[in-house]
Amino acid sequence: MAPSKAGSGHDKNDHEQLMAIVMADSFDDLFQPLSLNKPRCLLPLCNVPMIEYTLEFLASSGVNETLVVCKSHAEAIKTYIKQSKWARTHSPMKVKTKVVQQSRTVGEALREIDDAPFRSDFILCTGVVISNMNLAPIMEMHSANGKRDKDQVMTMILQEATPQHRLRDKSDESVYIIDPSNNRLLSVDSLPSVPKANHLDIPLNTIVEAAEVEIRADLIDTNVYICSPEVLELFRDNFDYQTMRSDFIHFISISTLDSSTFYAHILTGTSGLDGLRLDDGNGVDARDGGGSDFTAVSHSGYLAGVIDTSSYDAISRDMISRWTYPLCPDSNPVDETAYSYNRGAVYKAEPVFLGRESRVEHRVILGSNSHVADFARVADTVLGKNCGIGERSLVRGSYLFDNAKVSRGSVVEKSILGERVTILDNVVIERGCLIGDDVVIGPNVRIPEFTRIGRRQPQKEEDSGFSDDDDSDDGSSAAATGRSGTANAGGVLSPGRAESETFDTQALGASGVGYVWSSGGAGSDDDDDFDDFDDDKEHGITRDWIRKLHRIGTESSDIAVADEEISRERAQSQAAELTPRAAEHAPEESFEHELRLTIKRSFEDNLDIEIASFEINNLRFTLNGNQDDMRRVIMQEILKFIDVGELPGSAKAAISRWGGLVKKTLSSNLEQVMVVECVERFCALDSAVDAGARGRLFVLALRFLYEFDIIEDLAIIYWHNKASEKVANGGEGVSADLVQKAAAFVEWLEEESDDDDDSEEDDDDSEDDEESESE
Amino acid sequence: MESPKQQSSAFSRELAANIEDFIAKLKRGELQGSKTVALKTANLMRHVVADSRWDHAETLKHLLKTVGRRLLKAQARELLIINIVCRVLHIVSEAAPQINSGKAAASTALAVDSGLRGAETPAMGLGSSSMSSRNLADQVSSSLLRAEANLYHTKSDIISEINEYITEVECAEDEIARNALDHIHSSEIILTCGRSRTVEKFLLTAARKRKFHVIVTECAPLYDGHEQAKALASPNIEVVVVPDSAVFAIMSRVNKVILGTHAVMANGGLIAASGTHMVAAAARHHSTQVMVCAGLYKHAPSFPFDDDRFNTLMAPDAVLPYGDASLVGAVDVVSPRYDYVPPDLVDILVDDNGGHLPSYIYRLQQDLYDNANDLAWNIPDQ
Repeated sequence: MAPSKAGSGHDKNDHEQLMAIVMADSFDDLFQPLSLNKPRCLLPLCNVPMIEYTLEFLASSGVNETLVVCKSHAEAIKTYIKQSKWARTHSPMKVKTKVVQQSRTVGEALREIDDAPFRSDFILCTGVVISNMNLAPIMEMHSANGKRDKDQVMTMILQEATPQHRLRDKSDESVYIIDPSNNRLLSVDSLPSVPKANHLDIPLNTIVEAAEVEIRADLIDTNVYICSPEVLELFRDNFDYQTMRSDFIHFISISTLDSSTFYAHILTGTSGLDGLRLDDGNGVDARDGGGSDFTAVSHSGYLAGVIDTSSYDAISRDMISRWTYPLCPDSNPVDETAYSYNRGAVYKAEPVFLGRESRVEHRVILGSNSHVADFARVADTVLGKNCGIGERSLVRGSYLFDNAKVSRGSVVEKSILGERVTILDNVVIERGCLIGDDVVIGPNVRIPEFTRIGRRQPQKEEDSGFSDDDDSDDGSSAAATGRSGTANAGGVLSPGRAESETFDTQALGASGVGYVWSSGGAGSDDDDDFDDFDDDKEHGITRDWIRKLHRIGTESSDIAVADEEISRERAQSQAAELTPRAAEHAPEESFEHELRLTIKRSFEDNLDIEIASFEINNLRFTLNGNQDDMRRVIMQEILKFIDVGELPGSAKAAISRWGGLVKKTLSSNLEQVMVVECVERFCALDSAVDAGARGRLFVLALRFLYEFDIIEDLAIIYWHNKASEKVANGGEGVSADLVQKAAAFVEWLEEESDDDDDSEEDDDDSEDDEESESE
Repeated sequence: MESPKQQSSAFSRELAANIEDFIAKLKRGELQGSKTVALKTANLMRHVVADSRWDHAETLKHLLKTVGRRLLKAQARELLIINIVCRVLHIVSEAAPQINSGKAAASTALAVDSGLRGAETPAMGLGSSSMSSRNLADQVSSSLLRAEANLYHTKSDIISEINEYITEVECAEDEIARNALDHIHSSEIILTCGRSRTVEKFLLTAARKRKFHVIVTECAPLYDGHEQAKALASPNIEVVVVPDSAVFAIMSRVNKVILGTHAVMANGGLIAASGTHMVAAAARHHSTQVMVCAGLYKHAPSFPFDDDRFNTLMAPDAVLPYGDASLVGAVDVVSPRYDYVPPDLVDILVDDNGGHLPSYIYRLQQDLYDNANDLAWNIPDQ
């Protein structure tokens, strides 16, 4: 702890204590129902209460005193700290607690803190932080910056990571604007990933002074901030600052009145090749503290905050893969645990019981007294104390807290099971489920993905202000009795409680104990808070998706799915408001609808092809439309424009006049084939065309498209071959009639391509054919 | 013998704090490098001897073992802790005859004494109850004073022994370096691997009299070969740094390979920085002599039946940038800190007393540790 003294680097007073504030409460409900009985910070991460890592990290950074700010389950946190090694008299760091019962956000909690002891720079962790770093060099940099820049209030520590990194918050795409010459953080914008934001506002005043600006989206907020004492003051003065990044830093940095400045410290996540990075000179890395001494193995360090179950998952994996070295499971941060490392990143405590035929694959932590029965498979999983996996079960990518049991033949994928959860036989738990303490599931059920199951009903749901780890007194007492009830009955519903409680046995199986919590799943958009249908249905879905993206088991591909679902919802609601015609085409996307309107207007105004095409393309870019859709819509509109009563003249006129629009969208042969397909579909299905004229319209359209050089003969021939094949195979998705009608024209085309000289003659022939067919 | 509760009460508050501080540092990885760990452990052991209550060699040994086990639990893979604890135990054993010297009466008196004092050592209390109470008062009065005095002397003896040992550890490098001129000749080409202070001193000592070339391998992923090269640069040494991949190619020109190591196992094998095995194997292929410089404190009294157990896996960030999402999720990176070098790749081990063959190491260790007792103890699997 010697370097800490140097680290705090305060010239005014060397006896100055280095202080830290830890927000033990999250002010959200992303861990519910796991955090019903225990505060989030005491939940196990790799079988050690999470807060232990944070305190350890602060202690090794040389912090003398830490203030743990807690709200829900404050008593539990207090008791824990009292019994922990931090309360011992010779502990190098004092830990105090502060209860902020009324606060609903980080901002409100900070406002409650008495700033008297915070007379110098301090460390602020807005959440549970896992790190192997020593912050002292960064503290030093902060105070050095402070000497240069009197307005500095905060250094934000950021981790560099490419998109789709597992540690990334998938619901948020923050953009950081940094002046690379001095690492000043000019602005932060939190953009939601769903619905996808497609523009970014950068207030000019934030960047005009900087000679050079980096706009970066590859940074992760580590939830650790090095603050000057003014931070607390700023929070107290501004009652509307609720969150750290999207309110505090964002508003102050764009404000023209407040001149406070922020700095960023970027962790690159490599150590060996640090010197080779083309970094600016003053990007002092943590490893510099090591000097030339062999004893300091240099690493730039690992720093990450647990903000949701998704990051919980990512951090657990990082810890198991030893990114956090030396803070690994086998370094046993708490005295009680004793894990040893085995090949394949399997950490075992003593004793564990593994069946002869069991398969414990890679990246697994086995708590003491855990059992894995024969033919069971465990991979990428953390088992707490006294966990059991039954025969033929599969547990993958999941976290089982102490005393959880999985019975025979069950599958658990990417989920978190609370303490004493019992999964009975043949249960499938799909990814992203959170199952609270004492729940019993099964037998023979399937729990769909992203389900939340609690031992008791969710309390009044989802008001922005309530905290995840909310513990109203009646609730916890109910949980307590519930627990004793199940404990007595050994996981089976005791008759005494059956009268008062009826569980969701339909969803949870015959012996199920617990309730399915709504609003975790996709279909649960019926919330009381939102009574307006359309707009808020969209809202509801967006919110559900944002919660889902915070959940363990989400993948980055889910963002695309979410985006699609939300935009579909939006299009629906917009369609409902717009013209009846649009309502008919309800599932159309807004782009398609807009496009149709634009094309029609072009037709009506008889615009020049160039101008019309320009307008259409513009529309595509602004609404982020798809080229294929655009082509299809244009083609359909042209076909609609043809007056079926006056064939073939109207077709010729329409295609010669507007065919150019289609041609402009074509770049490959395959796209030409798609145009033919589109024409076929239109002629086969559009209600505006009457049955008799379908074939004729189709053949004429093909002919004129060919004649006016919009599509080539090869495309038509290719399409025809494919379509004939399809017809032969049962005619799925293609009209046999139209294919047959086109046969003659295609035959002619084939001859034509064989022999160009006869073109005139054949042309006449084909025309004759068509005439005869139409009669 | 005694329950842990009583054990911990045997430690003063200051000592308990000292132990916990040491454990915390071990866990955080703040103690790195064999010499640092060795010295810190030895200091802690001295503190235990000086500052705890014990009245018998066995009690003291038991205390030391309790502390040792706690340290091992914190950092089971750190061989140096085992070495030092075993060595201190050996020192205590050697002093033990003095504690138990004179007559049996002295020890019985002690037993009686402790029995009278109550519950401090229940096992011994039991012994006293079986003793006839005849002449009890006589025996106590006659031998107690003598025993107390004896104990006092023994304690200071043990402490001064440990102090001597600490000095030995501190000066190990200089002692080894005294042999340098016997091994290094003028204008030889010597290859070394990574950073080792022992090797540094060895080569620099030789360079006072002789002129030669040294090739240093980089030793990825730590790249501490660079530091070694910087430290070695002197008028008489021409230093070349080569990448690890060039070792085999360059080996044909090398006269001698001089390696440092983290620990020496009882069979003469090495636990040394990763990359060492490759160098030793290349040297064997070219029949180049491999010399290892290691202080006696690096001798670990155990056989490497499972070399995984003595290794430490470091963070993969030295090999792979953490920010790269496509790799971090998909690839398992194992970045071991040490290599196990089997004894048949080592030609000679140089310590304070000169060179030894690897096959002689087990014999050497019999003088350093009381094997019979310690080997059973130091396997930390419970």
